[in-house]
Amino acid sequence: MRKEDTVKLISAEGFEFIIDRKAALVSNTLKNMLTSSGSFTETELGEVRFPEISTPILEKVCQYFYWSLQFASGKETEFHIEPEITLELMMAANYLHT
Amino acid sequence: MNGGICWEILQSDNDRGVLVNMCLKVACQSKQNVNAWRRQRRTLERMPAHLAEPLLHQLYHNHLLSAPLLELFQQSVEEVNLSGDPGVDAEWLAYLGGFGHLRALRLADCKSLNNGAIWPLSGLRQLEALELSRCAKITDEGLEHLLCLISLTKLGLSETGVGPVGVARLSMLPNLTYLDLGGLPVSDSQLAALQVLCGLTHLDLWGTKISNNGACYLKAFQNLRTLNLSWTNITIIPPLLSLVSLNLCNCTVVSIFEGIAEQPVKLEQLYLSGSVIADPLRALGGVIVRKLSSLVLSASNISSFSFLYGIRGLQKLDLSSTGATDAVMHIVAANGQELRYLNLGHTKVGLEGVAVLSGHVSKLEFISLTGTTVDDSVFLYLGLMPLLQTMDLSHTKVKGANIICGEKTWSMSTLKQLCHLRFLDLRSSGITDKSCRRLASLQQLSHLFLRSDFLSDTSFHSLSGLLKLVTLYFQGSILTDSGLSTFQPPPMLQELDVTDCWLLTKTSLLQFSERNPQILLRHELVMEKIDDTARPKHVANSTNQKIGIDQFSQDKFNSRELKSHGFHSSRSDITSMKNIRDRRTRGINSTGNTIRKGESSNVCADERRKYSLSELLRLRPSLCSSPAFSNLDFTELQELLLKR
Repeated sequence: MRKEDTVKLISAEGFEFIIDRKAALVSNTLKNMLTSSGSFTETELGEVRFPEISTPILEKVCQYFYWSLQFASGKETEFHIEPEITLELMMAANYLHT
Repeated sequence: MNGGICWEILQSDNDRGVLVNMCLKVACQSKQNVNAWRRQRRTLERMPAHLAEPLLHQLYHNHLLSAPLLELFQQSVEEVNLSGDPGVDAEWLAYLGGFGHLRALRLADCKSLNNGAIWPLSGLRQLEALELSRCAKITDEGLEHLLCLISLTKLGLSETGVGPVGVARLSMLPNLTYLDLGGLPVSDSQLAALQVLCGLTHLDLWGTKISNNGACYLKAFQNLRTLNLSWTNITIIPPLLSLVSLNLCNCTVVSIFEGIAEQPVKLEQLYLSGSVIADPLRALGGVIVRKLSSLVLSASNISSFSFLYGIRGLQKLDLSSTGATDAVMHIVAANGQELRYLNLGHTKVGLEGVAVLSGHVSKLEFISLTGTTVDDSVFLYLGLMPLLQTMDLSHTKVKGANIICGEKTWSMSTLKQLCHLRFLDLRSSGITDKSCRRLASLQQLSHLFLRSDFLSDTSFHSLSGLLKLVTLYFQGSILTDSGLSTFQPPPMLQELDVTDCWLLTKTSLLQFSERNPQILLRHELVMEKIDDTARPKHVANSTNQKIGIDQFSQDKFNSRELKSHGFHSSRSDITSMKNIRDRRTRGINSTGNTIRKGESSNVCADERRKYSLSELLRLRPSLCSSPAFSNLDFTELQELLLKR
């Protein structure tokens, strides 16, 4: 897989998640960051830091991105959310506009 | 469309992301789920208001919100709406008193609230909007607690227990722009005291004791845009140049804005339902009608309509239950270029009048001819109104078949070319099985209302071909169980009303609901059940509010358009108006009806509420000796009671 096709998302604790670019584009915020014409470091390096989002939440967000792609292609499964993380995940999702 | 303060509309589900909505749903799914996150105080505190508010209201909607849970939202929520909940009491308000950022609080119809309960609100110095309408236990004493809220701009007090002294004290709230004093004992001297509130843009004075002597004080409100004076004794309205909307329903009107000569008038909406107008030309003939876009004259005594010649840009005209005749339609047609809404229900307008209109009202979207004498030929003319969306032909002589030159044709074929037509009401018209079957060719329909003794299974089945149908009324017909069970509902159908189909049995109705859970089924045999389970609480609340007198007349247009229940005929409008009047004179609240209905279906809860906790605990041994409770554990019972 070429480096341009992937995006690196870094959590508050410094964990790095490398995901497909098309999965990251599910989030409108990331879409704007990664496709904007201005020379942002995010656009150039394909790397985004989230000092506000903890590792387990960011992992769940990444899972959601892939689930969303699958769902859009017609595979209708349920996306399970543990009730413990609903608040944190909601705020992360709100930030990521997804 | 509900009455009272215009609240900023909460974000709709669509504005939020999919994942945000999924989280909201899971968070508010069950008590267990709430317990899983409720200790995450810090997260809740830094949650933005546009997430915390839907979370709070979703919890409330799912009956999971308790007073202690409210406390978690103290730092994050700016708007709270608990209207219509009799369970909201002093404890709830004690927590709400700690909401440091609260801007808007809506507590209309919270019947348990009393003077003591609202005391904690006096600490909400940043509160801008407060709705306490129909909290009848709140009196002058309670109002004193609110007078220190000087940042208040919107205040709703209609039908509370506030007296004349309290009303005069409202002059201490200098920033008010919206004030609802409907149904309060406001007389001329109190209105004089309120003159200092010169920032008012909206003032509700319906059902108050204001007279012509006090009307001159209204001039002090130079920014007033909306004024509601319905059900008062005012007959002469002084010139109010800033006014955009004036409601004089059920008043005796002598003159409006007399003596302003050529000064510019902003008045656009005039509501005169049920009013008695002595001399229409004097009351409505002047400059005041020039800019009118909306004129409601339903059930007024007007019989001479020549003043209509002065109105050019009229968009909404309601002449239902007046003496309007075919001749009046010539005037309407002459000024009908901008007309979008025309209600001619229960008038003497006939076929000839509709014929006059066709071709002159090209922008018409709504027409009601309910209770008139029109017959099938009317479709020839209605077909010439290209933008029609709603057509009310209930209680007419329409049959669906027409005889032209001895040959039977289907009269409604002209409707096929009306591509915007969505609502069609043919209740209690002469429609038969034969013509009903052909309705299936009107593919554009989304709402169809039928009621007839002669319709049977075959026509019911033919309607499943209407693929865009959302609401279907098929009332009073000879629909059978087998007809219902073999019915293939259109894919988008949400509501099916088979009230008074007397052949149907409860079993088949329940089977249908089970097979089609997405469809709300209405029938007298299953109604109660649906009210309890399928109908969300907030819907019940909004219907409560819909009955309020002030908005009742004003929002008739909106409710007609939006209400999924279809439309009431104007005759039923009048009867409900009378009901409201009766209830008001008897001192009973205008919204009691729906609430009582909800309670009756929940008798068990009421029975328990009759006793206090200690009384119930004393009852314990006798309860447990009865066989019904023998398997219930003592501790379980105690826990159950303490929770209450």
